[in-house]
Amino acid sequence: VDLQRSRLRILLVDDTHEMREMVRGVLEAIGIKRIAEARDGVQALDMIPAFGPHVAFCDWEMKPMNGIEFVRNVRMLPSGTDRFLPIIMLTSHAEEPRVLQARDAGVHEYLTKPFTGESLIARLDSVINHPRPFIQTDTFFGPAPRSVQRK
Amino acid sequence: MTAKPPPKGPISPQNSLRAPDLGKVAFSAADIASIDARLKEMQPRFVHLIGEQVERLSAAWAAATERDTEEPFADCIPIAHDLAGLGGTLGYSLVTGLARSLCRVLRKGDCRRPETRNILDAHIRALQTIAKNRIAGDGGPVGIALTEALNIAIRKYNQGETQISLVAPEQP
Repeated sequence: VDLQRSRLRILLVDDTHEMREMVRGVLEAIGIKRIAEARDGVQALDMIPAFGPHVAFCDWEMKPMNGIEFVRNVRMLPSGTDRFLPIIMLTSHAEEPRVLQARDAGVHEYLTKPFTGESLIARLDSVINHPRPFIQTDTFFGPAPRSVQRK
Repeated sequence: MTAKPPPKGPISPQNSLRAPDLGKVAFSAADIASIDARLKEMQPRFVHLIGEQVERLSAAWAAATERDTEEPFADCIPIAHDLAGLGGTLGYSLVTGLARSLCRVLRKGDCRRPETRNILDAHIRALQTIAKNRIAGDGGPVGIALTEALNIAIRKYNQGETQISLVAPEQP
């Protein structure tokens, strides 16, 4: 296991304890050990400053703050590194409007349940090794859509 | 929370991955295999969740049908949604398909209409059967027959038919 991997800090945000345990289990299987868990967006926001995650996995359906609200709140954090946090939405919602809503909120990657090793590694590789520039417009702050990057 | 907006336009990523202590992380095919193996290894530990989630759904459904308003039916949506995610992750693809279908009808249909309730009730009963018999994967011939029967019922429902009956396949 390379040194960088063992240093990675990952935040899991999901209201289902077992789902957090499952994702933790697969991350540990590839040598990622620094993992923190939050059961909803509010708790996750509280944890970000102290834990300083490199990547967050977040579910959509949570109370009192769901995944989309969490992403929007992260993007509104005071300037610093936290508002650029790479976020992977891990959800059962597979419908295109949901994917677009997540993109418009500032999500980096979208991973539908059930996930596989291949789909999970592809998302991690993307956010860690190929970070996209951010863009700021009147109505959006987040990773540049890939269509914009290609231009 | 207030933030001073940065200037408009492209911004280089300043996320903490760019910090000097963490560079590129090399992932490999071995990582993919490790994750898939761990997922498979963990599945038996979590299979009971399918049954528990179906029980929650059944209870929410029973409570909803006792009232004549839309709100209690909305309580079934997050449970069905979680069930869809769990089903796929635990190798219960038939559960995922049915739970997603259930979510769609719950979101779009008027749950106070008897024909909507019939369709929803058919979903719930099918899920109860699967959970009780621990029918993993696509359920084989029984699962396929069950899915087809539900799809026919949903088509009729979408076409406005009010007399809808579901002929459930024989259980294993």
